[in-house]
Amino acid sequence: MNIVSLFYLAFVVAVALVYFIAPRRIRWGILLGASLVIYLYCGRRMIVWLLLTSLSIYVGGLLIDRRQKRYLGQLEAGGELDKNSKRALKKKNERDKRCYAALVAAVNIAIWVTFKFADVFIETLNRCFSADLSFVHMALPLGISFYTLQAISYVIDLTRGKCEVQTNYFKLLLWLCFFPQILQGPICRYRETAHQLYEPHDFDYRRVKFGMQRMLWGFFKKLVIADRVVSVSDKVFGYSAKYQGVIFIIGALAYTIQIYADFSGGMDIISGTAEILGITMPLNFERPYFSRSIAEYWRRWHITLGTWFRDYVFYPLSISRASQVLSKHCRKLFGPGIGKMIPTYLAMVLVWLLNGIWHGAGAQFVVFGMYQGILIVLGMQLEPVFQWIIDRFRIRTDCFSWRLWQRVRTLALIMGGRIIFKAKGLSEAGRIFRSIFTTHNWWALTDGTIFKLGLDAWELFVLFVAVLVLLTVSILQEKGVHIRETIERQNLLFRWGLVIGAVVAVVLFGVYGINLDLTGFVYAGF
Amino acid sequence: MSIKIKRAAGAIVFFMLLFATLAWVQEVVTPDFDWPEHNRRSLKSIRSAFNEPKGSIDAVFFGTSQTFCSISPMTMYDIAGVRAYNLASTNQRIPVAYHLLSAILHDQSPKLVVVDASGFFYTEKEMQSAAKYEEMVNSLPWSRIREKWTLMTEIAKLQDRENDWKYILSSVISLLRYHTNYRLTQRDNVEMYLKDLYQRKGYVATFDTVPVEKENYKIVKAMLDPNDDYASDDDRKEKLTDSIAANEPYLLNMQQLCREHGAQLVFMKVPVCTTTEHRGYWSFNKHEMTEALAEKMGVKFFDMCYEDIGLDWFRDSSDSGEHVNYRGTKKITARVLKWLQEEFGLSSEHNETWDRQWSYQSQVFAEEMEYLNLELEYDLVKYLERVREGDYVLFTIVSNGLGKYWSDEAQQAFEETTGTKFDLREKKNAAYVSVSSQGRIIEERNGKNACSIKVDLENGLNCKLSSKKTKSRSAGSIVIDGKRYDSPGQGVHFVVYDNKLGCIVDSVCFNTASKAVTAQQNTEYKEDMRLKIIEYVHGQMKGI
Repeated sequence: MNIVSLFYLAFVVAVALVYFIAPRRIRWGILLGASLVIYLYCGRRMIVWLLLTSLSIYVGGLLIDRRQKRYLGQLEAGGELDKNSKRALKKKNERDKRCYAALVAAVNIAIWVTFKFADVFIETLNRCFSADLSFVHMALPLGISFYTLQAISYVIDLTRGKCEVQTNYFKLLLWLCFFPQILQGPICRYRETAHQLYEPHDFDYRRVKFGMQRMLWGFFKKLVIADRVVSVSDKVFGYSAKYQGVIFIIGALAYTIQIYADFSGGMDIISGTAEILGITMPLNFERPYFSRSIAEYWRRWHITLGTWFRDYVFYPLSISRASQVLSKHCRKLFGPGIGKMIPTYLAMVLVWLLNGIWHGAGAQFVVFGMYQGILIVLGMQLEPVFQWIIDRFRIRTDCFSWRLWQRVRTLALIMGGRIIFKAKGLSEAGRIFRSIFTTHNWWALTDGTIFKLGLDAWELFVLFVAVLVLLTVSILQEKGVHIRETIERQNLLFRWGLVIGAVVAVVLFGVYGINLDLTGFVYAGF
Repeated sequence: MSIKIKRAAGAIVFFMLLFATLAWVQEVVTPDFDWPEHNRRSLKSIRSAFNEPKGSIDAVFFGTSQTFCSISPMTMYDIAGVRAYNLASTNQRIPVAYHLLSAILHDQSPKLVVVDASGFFYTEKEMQSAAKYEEMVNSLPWSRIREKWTLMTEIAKLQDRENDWKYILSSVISLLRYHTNYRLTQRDNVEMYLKDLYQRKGYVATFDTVPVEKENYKIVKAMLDPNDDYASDDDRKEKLTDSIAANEPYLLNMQQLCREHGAQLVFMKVPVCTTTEHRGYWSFNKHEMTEALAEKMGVKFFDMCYEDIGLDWFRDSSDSGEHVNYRGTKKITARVLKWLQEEFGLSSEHNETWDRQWSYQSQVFAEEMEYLNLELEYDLVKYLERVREGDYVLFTIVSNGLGKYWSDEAQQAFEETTGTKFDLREKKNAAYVSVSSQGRIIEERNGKNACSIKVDLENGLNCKLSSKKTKSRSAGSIVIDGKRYDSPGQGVHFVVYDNKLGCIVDSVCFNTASKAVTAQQNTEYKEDMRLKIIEYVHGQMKGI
C-alpha cells in the first residue's frame, strides 16, 4: 500500500475513529487488527514470514526469560555459593541466553538473506560454474528489512536485560508489525515504543492536529518534491550514456534531494499517523544535509538504522575478545597509536559493509557502504592533518563561511555516494565520475539543456520554490524553532490560511493523477 | 461554551473552508474547453445551465458543435421572449445527451426537448467514447453528483475498469485528474470564471467567414437530392442503418424521460454544407432514416437542410460549411423559433425576476455581438462603411502591392473612411501607409517601392507602419505599442483600434490581388479583445 494514496488516508481516518471510540482495554487490539489488515492487503501469503519471525522472537524471548529466571532461582537457592560458582553460573546463563538469541537471529537473518539474495546467489553460481540455474524471483515480504532488525534487537535487548519479556504473543506481534511503521521504518526498539502501543490513548485535540500537520508536511515532501525531481534523476541515471559532465552533477543533486524528500517525507507521514494515535515514533532524520562531516551525516540520516548497527554490531565487535586480541597484536606491530585504532576501524568497515548490504544485493551496494566507511575512517585519521592546515594557514573556524564550506564539502561527498547508489552498476558509476572530472560542459547550465532533463521551466520553477520552502523550514528547525508550536501561537486566520495553503499546494502541485502510478518510496523497496 | 464544543465547531468550520477552497481550485483547473484548439466550446456554459432559476427554461437543445454554433437562445429571447438553453457539446453522443437531460430535468421543466439529428449517426463504437462521457462529468455541477457517478460508472464499464474505484473517484473529483492544469490555466479561464460571464446560454458565436468551396457546394446539393445517383450509391447506407438503430434505445429513453416530466421530444437538423469527407455531413439517406425513426417514435422532425431559410453558404459559414458564423446563426435561430412556435406553441410565461435577468443578459449579449460583428464583414466596401460609423482609429498598409481588384467603390469608400486624397491604384502609391480616425487622416505616406511612418497618437499609442511593394515576407507591418498586428497576406491590411474599449478590435487583410477579394483575419489579438469587450459592456450595463 502506498502511504500517499487516498486509500491510506481513508484507512487512517477509519482506524483513528474506531480506536478512539473503542473501549480502552481493547485499543491495542484495534491497532493489531489494522496492522494485519494492511499486511494482508499488501500480500496475503507474505504474512506467513511475519508470523514466523514474530513466533521465533516470542519463543526465543520466553526461553531467554526462563533461563534468566532459572539463573536467579539458582542464585537464590544456592544461598552462600562462592564467587567462582556464582561466576560460573552467570557465565553459563549468559552463554545460554546468547545461544537462544543467536539462534533466533540466525533464523531471521536466514529468512531475510534468502529473500533478498537468492537471485544474486544463483547468478553468482551460474557465473562461476557456468550453471544454468533459473532465478526464483521472490517478492520481498513487506517491511522484512525493517522488522527483521527489530526482531533481532528484541532478543538481544532481552539477553542484555534491557527490556522486559512480552508474554502475550499478539502484543509482540503488534510491536513488530504496527501498520504505519512496518511499511518503511523507523526501526523501533521494544523498550521505546512497545509500551506506547499497549497503553490506551485518548483523543487529544492538539496531538491529532499536530499529527495531521506532520502528515501534510510529509505529503508535501513526497508528492511535490520527491515525485517531481525523480524525473530528472531517473532520466540522467537511466539514460546516462547520453549525458556527460555537469549533467551528472545535476542528476546527483536531483537524486540527493529526491531520496531525502522521499524517505523523510515518508517518515513524516508515518510519524504523523502514529502521533494521531498517541504514539511517538523515534526520530529518523535530523536535517542530514546540514552535517559538517560524513560521520555527523550518518548520525542524522536514517538514525534508527545507524544506532541499530552501532548497538548491535559495532559495540559488540569493538569490545569482543577477538577485537582485544587483535588490538594487542596490532599495538605490537604498528605501535600504540595506529595499533589501537585498527580493530576499531575494522569494526567500522564491517558495519558499513553490512549497511551497504542491507540496502541491496550486489557489489554496487557493498561499494556504497564501503565508500561511506572509508570516508569516515579517513576523516578520523586525517583529522590531525586538517588541523595542521587550519593552524598553518590561520583559517577561522568559528565563522559562517567555514561551516558553509564544511557543509558543501560534506554534501559533495554525499552526492558521490548517491552516484554509486543510483548508477546502473559499478562500471557506469565509474564512467560518471570520470565524466564529471574530465568533461567541462558548464554551458549546459545555460543553453536550455536543463529543461530537457524531464522537467520543463514551469516544473523546475515549482520544484525550486518547493525546495526553497523545505530549506527554509529546515534552517528554522536547525536554529531550534519548533515549527508546529510556532504556527500554533499565531492568529487563527494566519494558521488556517497556512494549512489550507499547504493542502492546496500539495493537491495542486503534487505529482499524481489518473494516468500516473504513484511513485513508490525508495526505502519501501529495501 | 465548553472548550470541546468550541474545538469541534472550529474543526467543522476549518474543514468547510478547506473543502470550499479545494472546490474553487477544482473549478479553476478543470478544463474549460473540451477541445482547446478547435471550437473552444465552454463546458462551463453547460454547467451554467444548472444555475438558471428553477423552472425558468422552456426549451432545451441537444446536439453537436453544429447545434451550439447554430442556435442562440439569447437571440430567441430577443425575438420572442422565449427562454431556452443550448446544451449541445462537441460530438455529443446520444447516451451522453440522455444523461445530461436526466440531470437538467431535476431543476427545469422544459416544454420542449429539441435534439439535433447530427448525433444519431455515431456508430456503436463511437457512442462508447469515454472521453465524451468524461467531458460531461466535468460539466455537471456537484449538485448532480448522482448523475456524475452514474456517468463515471458507465465510462468505467466501457473501459473494463468497473472495479477501478480510484479511476472512477478521480474522474468524479476532477481536481484529482486535472490538478496539473495549474500550468495550463489561461488567464481568460480564471477571469471568466471569477466574473461568471457565461451568459450566452450555451451558444458559441463564431465570427470568421470561410466560404464553402463551390465544388463541394454542388456535391452537397447532390447528396441531399433524392433523385440524384448519390443517394442510391451511398455505400454507407448499411452502416448508417446500424448506427441509428444503436442510438434508438437511448432516444426512446429520452422520450420516456420527457413523458415523465411533461416535456415533448422533437428532432431537428440544423443546416450544414459539407461533403462526406467531414463526419458531420448530411445526406438524403440520413434525412430519410431520421424521418422514419421520428415517425416510428411519434416525434416531429424538422430538417432545415431542406428548407430555404436564406442561408448563404459563401458568407454565413465560419469553416467552409460545417458550422455557421453569427450571421448564419441569426437566420437558423429565427427559423427554428418560428417552427417551434407554430408547431408547438412555444412561449414563455412572464416572470418579473427571470425576465429582468434575461433582459439584462440579452442587452449585454447584443452589445458584445455588436462589437464582435466587425469581424464578420468580409465585403471590403461594407467593411469600410462600418469602420466609418464607429469611434475607431484605422491603421492601413498596402503589402506586396495593391493588386488589380481594388475597385472604384473600394477607393471611394476608403477615401470617405480615411479622408485620404491618394488614389491607391496610382504607381506612385504602390507602397502606402496611413493612420486615420473618423474620416480624417492623422498621418500618411506613399512611395513607389517602400515607405514607413512612426506616429505617437493623442491617446498614448505609438505605432510604426511600413509598406513595401516587393514580394517578401516583410513587405509591410503594423506595430502598435511594440506588438505586431497586421495579418498575413497580400493586399490592403486594416487594423482597427476602438477608442471606447481601448483595444484592437479587428485585424484583417483584404486580398485585392484575387478576384474574390477574400478577407483573412489575424486572430492573435482576440483573447484580449473579448475580455475587454466583456469588461466594457458590463461596465456600461451596470447602471441598468
